[in-house]
Amino acid sequence: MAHENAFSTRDMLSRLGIVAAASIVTGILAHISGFDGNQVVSCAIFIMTIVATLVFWPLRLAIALVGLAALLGCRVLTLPAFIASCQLDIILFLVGMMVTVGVLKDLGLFTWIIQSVLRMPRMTGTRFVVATAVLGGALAAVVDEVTSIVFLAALIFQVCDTLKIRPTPFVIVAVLATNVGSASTMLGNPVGVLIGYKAGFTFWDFIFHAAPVAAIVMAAVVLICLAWFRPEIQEMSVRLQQRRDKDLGLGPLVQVPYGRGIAVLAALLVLIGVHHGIEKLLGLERNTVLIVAPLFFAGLLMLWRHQRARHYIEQEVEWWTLLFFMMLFAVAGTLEHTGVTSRIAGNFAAMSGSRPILLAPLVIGISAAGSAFVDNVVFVAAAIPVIRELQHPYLWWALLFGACFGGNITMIGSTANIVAIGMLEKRYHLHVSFREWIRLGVAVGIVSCLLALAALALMARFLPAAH
Amino acid sequence: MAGETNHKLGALFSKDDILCQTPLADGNEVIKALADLAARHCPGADADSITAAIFERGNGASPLVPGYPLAVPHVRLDNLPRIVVAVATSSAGIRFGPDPNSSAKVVVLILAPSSQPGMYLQVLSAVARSLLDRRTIERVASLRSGEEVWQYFNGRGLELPAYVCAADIMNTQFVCLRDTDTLKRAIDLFAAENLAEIPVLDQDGDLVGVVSENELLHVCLPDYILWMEDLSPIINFQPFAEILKNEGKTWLHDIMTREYSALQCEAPAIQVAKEMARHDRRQVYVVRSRKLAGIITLQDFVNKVLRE
Repeated sequence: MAHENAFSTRDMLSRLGIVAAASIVTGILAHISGFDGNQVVSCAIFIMTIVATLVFWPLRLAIALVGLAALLGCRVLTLPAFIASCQLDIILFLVGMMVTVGVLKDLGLFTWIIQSVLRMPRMTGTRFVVATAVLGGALAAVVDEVTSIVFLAALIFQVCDTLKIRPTPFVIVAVLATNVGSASTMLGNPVGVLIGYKAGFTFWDFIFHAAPVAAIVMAAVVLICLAWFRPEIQEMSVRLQQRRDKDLGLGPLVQVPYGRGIAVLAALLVLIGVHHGIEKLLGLERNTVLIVAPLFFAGLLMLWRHQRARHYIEQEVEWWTLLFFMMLFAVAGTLEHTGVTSRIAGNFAAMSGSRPILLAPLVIGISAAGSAFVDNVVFVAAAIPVIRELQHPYLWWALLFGACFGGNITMIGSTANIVAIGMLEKRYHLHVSFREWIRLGVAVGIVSCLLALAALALMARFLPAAH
Repeated sequence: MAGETNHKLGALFSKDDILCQTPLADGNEVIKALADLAARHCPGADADSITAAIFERGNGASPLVPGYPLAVPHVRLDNLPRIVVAVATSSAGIRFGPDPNSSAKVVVLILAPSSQPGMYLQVLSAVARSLLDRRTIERVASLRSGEEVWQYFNGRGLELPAYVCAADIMNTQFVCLRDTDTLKRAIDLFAAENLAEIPVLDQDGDLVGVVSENELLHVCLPDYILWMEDLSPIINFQPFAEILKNEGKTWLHDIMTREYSALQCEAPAIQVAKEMARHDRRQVYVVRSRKLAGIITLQDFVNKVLRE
């Protein structure tokens, strides 16, 4: 609607004041810390852009574009450096995945998955919560967190509409599980592919090291949610029993020819799964096949379904979000270009002495807290150059878990949270309060991060080296 | 409120505009006679043109008020300076069709200026309040002179309402369902009555929801089925068959929507238009407290406010 992005003059001025103050304070602190002129300017503009995207969230793409222009205009970023740092490879990977998801939706794969839950025998509230959590985590792992939450929300709305119960608790559980599941593979979250690509981890590195941690955390999160929402889950069980007594289902079920959808998804996962082997066989650069596989698949699928090819590109790809990511990556890349991240990494290295592993709690804590309030992609994009300087695989995983699990702390912590809340508001006019979310979010966030730290400590000797 | 009027109903006509105990028994003849009386107040119009306009507007429909021995023929005329009313009474009855029950004992002719869309409805509302029931109409029909009839209307001090309200344009004859009814009854009604939306009432007659054809369609085809681009594999209307299998066990309170527009009887009619325009509704429900009093469809609104 036209008024959604409207700010009153007073509101606009106060927000601009916050942006200017944050930028000036950052510039002064950078100057005091002994940064050179370019570094001071890049820090000030970086913070200005980040704070501005936060306080003018609906206008974030416009702000990122303006921030980028400011960096180019101040000569702290050059066009070649912009091209190098906007991560076009990762953006194209995401385009390929989005097109593939669009085709899978058309082919009825997600319809079949939802119906499989709806037709589960002897469904109870507890079983429904466990099923949605596991499904959310699994879907996030193989497609992405936003796709996962969109389909899960449709399932939850269908069941809650049929049972006439409040959907909010079940949507919150699904979001928490989706964020946890998104850490388990490189496909689950833009953060995953960003870290995987930058650290040079393979798909199987994630499967062996991230997925088990995500599974343990998922179990803990489900247990916490079952206790937290016990009254709502019991109410659902009662309504489900009443419906079963009347021999009524949870929604119409149709025969879906899901075989083609499963075949497409399985083929994509297999190709991604063997990416490292193909790269070695063909002498390609590390992760080349990983990035190209979804694009290659998208191309094949568009050839197959050529009548819908334009639809997949125009409607299924989130161009707004992808352009925002590109600009953000470039703005964050400036810090690396001007040497700011090297200096910050040097300070971190000095703090931890000869054992950078000691920084892990700090990295996971800061990334979780940061991702709770800033989009986790924004945070990770800024943190990657620092982690790369520190050169310890342990810290890459700490950054991944902190960024993904930290997204559960607040209702704005990840894109999945924002999408789910938007769907609730649009359909039911239900508003989830910041307080309602954060009480559970903090509990889940702390437990998740502690479990991740413990698991990393146990796996420390087996973690793959970053490339 | 802009355009407020505080005319008394009796001030709109005089005893000379009344045909008391008319010997005419044919409704069309009475309308012609009343048009003759009204033409005296209509510059530029004669009785024949007024009569023709009334018949053209009626388009063969009876001017009888359903269930009452009262007829209200009316028409809008251009260049009419003010509302014109003429009344005929007959204790013997005036026929408006071949059916012996289709007769009126009081006929109120209303000519309204085209430039004032709500005026006719304001007068009609005042007439309805002055002739509340069958007994009152019989009593007016039994009065012996025009003077007495005029005194009846004038003596009651009835004023035209300040504005047309929702109750003035609502349709009080409507089909409804109970929240304890099943989906089967709703589908039967949709099929039999050719309706797009039916209100659902609880045991106290309070409006609690609405079932619509759209809602039924969404129950049969929820979002997760519509995700598929190609539904051709779903042969024989599987989702519909499934719903039909359970239609006798599905209660309306499980599928009805609470997204509808309801207004109190006293709400200005313009509020009805606002609800329809702002929320894209095809009909608005008129309630007295929470009880459903009537329904205003978009067609009713257009007909009554812009044409009648």
